Amino acid sequence: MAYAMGLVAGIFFSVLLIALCYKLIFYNHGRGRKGPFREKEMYDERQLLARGAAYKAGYYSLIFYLLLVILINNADKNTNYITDSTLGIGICISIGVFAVVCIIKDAYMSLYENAKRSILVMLIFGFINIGFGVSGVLEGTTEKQQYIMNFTAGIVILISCIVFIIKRLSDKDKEDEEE
Amino acid sequence: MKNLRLKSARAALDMSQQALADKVGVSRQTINAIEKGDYNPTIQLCIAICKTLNRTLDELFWE
Repeated sequence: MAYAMGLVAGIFFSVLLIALCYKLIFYNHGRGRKGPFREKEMYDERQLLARGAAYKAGYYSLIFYLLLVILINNADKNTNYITDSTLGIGICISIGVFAVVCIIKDAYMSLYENAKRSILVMLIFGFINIGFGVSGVLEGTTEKQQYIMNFTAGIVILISCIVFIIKRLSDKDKEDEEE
Repeated sequence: MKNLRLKSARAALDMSQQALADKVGVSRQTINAIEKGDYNPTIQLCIAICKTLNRTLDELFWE
């Protein structure tokens, strides 16, 4: 009963946190448009095409990762490599690939997003996840698997954030040259 | 192939890529990609750009 209540409370506060982050990132500073929810209105046509390519890259990266895990699992019969953490790491990596491809193709930021706030949210969640991951692994708890997933998620978020910052800086230089 | 006619039409109105992008409802990078020839816009976007720059489709996009 307590576990179920805790689960419900956790889901409720997670949804609340995501809604807060969404509002923070998509808050419009008087551009005269209300932030729409549908993807087609948030991204222009070129960005939608680029995001399609990024979804494909993320999908195939997950497939290749899972194949690799299966091969390693079959090669070493003594250890079971197909665990929650290995599957979770695969999901983190595929999402990271999607994000990086979107960033490189200028399809990560929608028309209404605030870049500085996005970077701030990425940094916060990246470091929180790394903190959880490192503390859990150092304590040597029996729930190490989920802490490894936290750590991987944190690393992937921070890598995406670094790529995003580098892309923004290089775009600013190009913008000055082109104008 | 670069779209220099679009670039010059934009420059004639003293409009930046960001300003044109805002008026047309796309990102600055999309306008840049169109001018560099890296992206072929849809007909709707072409029409929107032509209306904003007060030019015809032939003037800006026909080869």
